[in-house]
Amino acid sequence: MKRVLLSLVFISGLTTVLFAQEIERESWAGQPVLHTIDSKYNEESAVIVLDKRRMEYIDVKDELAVYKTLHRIIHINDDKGIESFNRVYLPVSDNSDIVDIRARTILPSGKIIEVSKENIKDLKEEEDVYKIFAMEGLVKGCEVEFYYTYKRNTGFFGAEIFQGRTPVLEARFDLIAPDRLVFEMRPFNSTVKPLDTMVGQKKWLTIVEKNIPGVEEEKYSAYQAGLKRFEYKLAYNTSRTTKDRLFTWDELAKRVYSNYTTVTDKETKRTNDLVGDMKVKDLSSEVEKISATEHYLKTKFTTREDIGGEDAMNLEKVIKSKLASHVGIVRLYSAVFRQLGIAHEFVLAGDRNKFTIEKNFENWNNTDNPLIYFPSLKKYLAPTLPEFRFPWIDPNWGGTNAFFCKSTTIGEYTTAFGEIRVIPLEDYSKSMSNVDAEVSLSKNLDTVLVSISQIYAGYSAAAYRSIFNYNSEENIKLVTKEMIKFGTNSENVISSKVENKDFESFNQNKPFILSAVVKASELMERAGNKLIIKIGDIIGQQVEMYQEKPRQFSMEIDFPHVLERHIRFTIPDGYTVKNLEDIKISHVVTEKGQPTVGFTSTYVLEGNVVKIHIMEEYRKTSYPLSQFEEFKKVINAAADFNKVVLVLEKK
Amino acid sequence: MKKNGLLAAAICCCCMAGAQSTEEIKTLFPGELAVVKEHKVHYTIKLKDGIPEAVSDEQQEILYLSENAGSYMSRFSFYHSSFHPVNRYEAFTETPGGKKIQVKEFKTSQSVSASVFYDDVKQTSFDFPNITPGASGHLEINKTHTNPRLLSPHYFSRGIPTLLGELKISFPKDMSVRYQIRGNDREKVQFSTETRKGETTYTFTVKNQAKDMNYPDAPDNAYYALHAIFWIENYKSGDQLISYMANLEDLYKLQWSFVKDINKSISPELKAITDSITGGLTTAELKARGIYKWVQKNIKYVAFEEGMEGFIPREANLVCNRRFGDCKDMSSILTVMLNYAGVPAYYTWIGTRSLPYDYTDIHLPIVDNHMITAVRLDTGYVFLDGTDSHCVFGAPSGHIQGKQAMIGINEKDYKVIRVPEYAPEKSRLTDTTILELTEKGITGTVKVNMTGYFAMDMQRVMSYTNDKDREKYMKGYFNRGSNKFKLNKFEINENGNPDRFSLSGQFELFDYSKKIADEWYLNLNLFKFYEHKEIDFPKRKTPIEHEYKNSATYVTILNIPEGFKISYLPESKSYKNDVWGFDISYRQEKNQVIMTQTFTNDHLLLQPDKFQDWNKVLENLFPLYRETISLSKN
Repeated sequence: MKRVLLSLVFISGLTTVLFAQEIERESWAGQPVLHTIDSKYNEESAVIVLDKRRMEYIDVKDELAVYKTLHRIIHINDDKGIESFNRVYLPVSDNSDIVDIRARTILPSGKIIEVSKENIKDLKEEEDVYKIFAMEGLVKGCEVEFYYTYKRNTGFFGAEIFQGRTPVLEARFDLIAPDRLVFEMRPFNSTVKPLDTMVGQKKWLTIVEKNIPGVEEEKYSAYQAGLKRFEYKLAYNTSRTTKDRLFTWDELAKRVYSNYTTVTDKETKRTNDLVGDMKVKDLSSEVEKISATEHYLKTKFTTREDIGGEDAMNLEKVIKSKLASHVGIVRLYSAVFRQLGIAHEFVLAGDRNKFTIEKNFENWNNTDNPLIYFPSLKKYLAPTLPEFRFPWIDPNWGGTNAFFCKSTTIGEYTTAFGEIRVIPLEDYSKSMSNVDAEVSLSKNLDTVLVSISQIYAGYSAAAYRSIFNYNSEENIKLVTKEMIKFGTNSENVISSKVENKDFESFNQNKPFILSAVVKASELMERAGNKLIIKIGDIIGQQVEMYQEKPRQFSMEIDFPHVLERHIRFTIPDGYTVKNLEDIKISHVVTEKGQPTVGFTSTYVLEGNVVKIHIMEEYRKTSYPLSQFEEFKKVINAAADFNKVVLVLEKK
Repeated sequence: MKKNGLLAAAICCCCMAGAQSTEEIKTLFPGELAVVKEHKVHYTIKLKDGIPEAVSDEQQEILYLSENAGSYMSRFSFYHSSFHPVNRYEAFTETPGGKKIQVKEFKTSQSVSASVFYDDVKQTSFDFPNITPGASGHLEINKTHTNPRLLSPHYFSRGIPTLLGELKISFPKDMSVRYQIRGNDREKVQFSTETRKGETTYTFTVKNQAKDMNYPDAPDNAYYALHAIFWIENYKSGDQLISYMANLEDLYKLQWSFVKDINKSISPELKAITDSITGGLTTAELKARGIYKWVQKNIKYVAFEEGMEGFIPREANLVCNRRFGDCKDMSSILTVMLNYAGVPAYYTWIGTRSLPYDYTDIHLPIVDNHMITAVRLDTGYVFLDGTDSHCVFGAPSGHIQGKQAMIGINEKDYKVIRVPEYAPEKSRLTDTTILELTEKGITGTVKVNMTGYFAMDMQRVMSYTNDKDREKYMKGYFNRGSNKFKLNKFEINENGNPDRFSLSGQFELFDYSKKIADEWYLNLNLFKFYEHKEIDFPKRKTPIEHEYKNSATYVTILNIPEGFKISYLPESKSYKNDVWGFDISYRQEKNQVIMTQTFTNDHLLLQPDKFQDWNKVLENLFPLYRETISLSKN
């Protein structure tokens, strides 16, 4: 909710005390010496000796200003360290006032090289503005040090992530504010508690955490969500007459409701005209109306976060230009649904991969992703995501807490209140990546004939539908070839067909199906007169976890789903298969008697047809670290099946 | 007959309008999401204060065809910089009904590239409003080209088809402008010229140009996309005929102007460093080797290229203090250090392999994009590329092989010499795997020996990975057989020679071999590098770029377990044609099966006329990939 609301954030009520305050100024050691780094870090390319950040809220005249400071010292161990830290990009605000900016290299010889001001350049990249410079004189064993303080756009929420790939010896975060402003700070993935102190008129909230290990990305993990970070928010202003908590979820609800629903008569009129053009009024059910509206708006309108300006929120202008900001498009959906009399609520979702929305810690910045909720259907629509269709939304926005803006009308007056609850994802059984394949040998036994259907539904289908709708025919052919190759290891496609690629099918969850007939000589090997059929290749190469380092994060998957495969292999006349039992692989994890994640492959032999059935399922999105060994076995069971071959011998 | 009459009227209408309907365009370019209906650029060159200056008026019209165009195709952008400042621009959408909707919001930001840290290239972006199938986006841009020597070639093709492409160049009639057409489909360019009121205008027209196909292994599009290069040869100023970019001398004059004022003195620090490197070294070659190594190791690549910084190298003394620089800065410090050490060395310009041009064909700044240093030794010139931190002295850096270098001897003299291509036998890889069959599966060892670019690449990887990353990298590097490959141990055998690299490792590979009853089955093709590498012939018209010529041998040795004998051994085979080929041989020696495969690539650039032969080799190779050996009990 960053972009919309911050522009409307009020300062009123924060009655200011008008006497001159100086902001804290950062400085560095006059005679710096290199730090001695513990030998346990010898294998690291670099070590962050100090990562110090400060956010200072200060009264300047009649305004509350915010200054941000960053001060880092990095010890460089090798060439990779030099390459990683010799270029520095420091984000600043658009109209930023830089208070201080300095950077220097401290060489092992004791020599100090400071970057001169004229070599600090401004870079404007899309919406972001940076100060950039290159550190000078870097050699192995040197230290890079820089600090800067700049005036930021005023905001009353934030998050500072202190963990990454490079270890940090000392991380420090200070939040300074006039004593009337009470901030709350919450650690995530950390047990360190913030310390409260008063220095003169300023209140300091300080977090210090030492020896933060560097962490690498792992398969099936939500990397960013697992990093150590500290979030903060303004909770009280003691100088106000009321002692109510600030920036509550209820307050957000009121603003969201007002932002999304306040429209002028002209806007309403243009929306009415649009609804007329859409020809959805006469559709019989609510679901049909919702689906048709969504299809119309998602085909004809563009929405992106970087489409800005007032025009991109004003429905009159949006309907004319077909260009909308994210707020603009939600306003449009809401206006249309109001016209159609479809009850809906606004939801701002988080992102499971990045952070969580907490009931008792109202960080408005985490309510990033707009959704529209239909209470009578208990389903969601994602207005900003053209590749998803009701009720399918980006699965990372669900399976976790979200902010719900509920409205109630009392007489003429409508008000809204906030609620935090989980957006449930659609049931695991509705999202599938299934395969149905007939495998046989050509008459002269020189190649394998495969008739294969790849069947995708639910969340699993979203990516494929995007590809098949947003690409030229030529690119689609290439993708089709790659997809078929994945399940047959062959490019020798005799024919292929795609069904239900249209987005409307998504609403009804009709599966997207790619079927092909393939001559896959790659699936057969020969050892003299014995034939080796690489039946496991039909499921394609699988993610493996054969050689894993000690696990750091719990296991997370994007969405619950199944992968069910039916493979029928016809044994050619005169041949027999000696190793059918190799097909049987099973590893299933259960909780309370119910499978949560598992892979099972079985077969039956009917006449000369081997009927293989594989059920691979992931019923939950998250699996605790304690289940890592079990989880790994399931992943590897699928990867093992991919290696199954059938050896055919003459009878 | 009414129907037909209507149809005729419709066709007639189209003719009168002189344009194709959206439906016709869809038939002409089936399955396309959008086309460039028209792209016209008109350059007007005039003398300003006696010096040529160019202004361009560009118009483009994009016609949208996709049903989904509205949801994701509105974004558009154009580029400009201090040498090509934009004076004015305008954009609007024309709806299928002919209504114009102006673009109001334009955003300009720096264009960020991976290779250049900072320059002044800017990108202006916007969204065309109300995009629907049949709507078109119009963009008009007027730019000044402050230095017409730096005019870019005009491309007639791009990622979507172009119905009408037109380039016009107008210039005073006593000015001489030359041009060259490059790329595929040159015959499609129609040229005309006319002179009116003292101004000559060249017009180049291309109709219905297909889109450029994007292949990841293709060289830069300058090699194949249809384009026109044009330049001012000379012009009259008063009575005087001024040679502008008439010949190589003119280009050299320009290049030399970039370096003539730099490096007038050398700092005590740089002197001291150079002395410490060359002290005790007696030959020019040894000194050059030492200095090159120091620069490779100590000066990191960071490019600031704002305005003239894109052309003028920085002072060697500054580069030394900062310990970083771009290619020009590396050339600057190398040249200064070498000359100070008494080794004849020269600033040298070169186009990397991403540019297809030769100085001897085209004498414009577009020919090069890189600077190196040429050293004159008794044996001839050696080219030192400071940006390649692991290039072996004497070998060309990979990206300048086969390219002409312009060596700046002094204000008057220069030499154009072609940098050699590194022969395949100089970049060799020998990879030997020894396999043991155990009840659980395969265990084995690998030994890899590399020379030339194989070794240089590996040295580079080693220097930019720490121990932690290296383990991950090696797991991928050694991987063979299947993704169940498990690397248990690896060793890097460094011998101090940058032109050599060797590695060894121990692994397990379960579920790759198959034991059924008393028989083992095993495919010794642990790598199938060329599987699915057929070239899309005859459709593909763009060449394939290979990083370097090389020769690679893979040996797989299977120790036959006690009590077993070979029951099936595939036949050996080799196949070669004029383009390339392979040898695969199987043989038994005592209790070992030895399979050897050798592949040689002798092409940096494989041209489309070679594609058929290339594929022919693969046709012969693929059946061999499917040959499995079997062992049975004695």
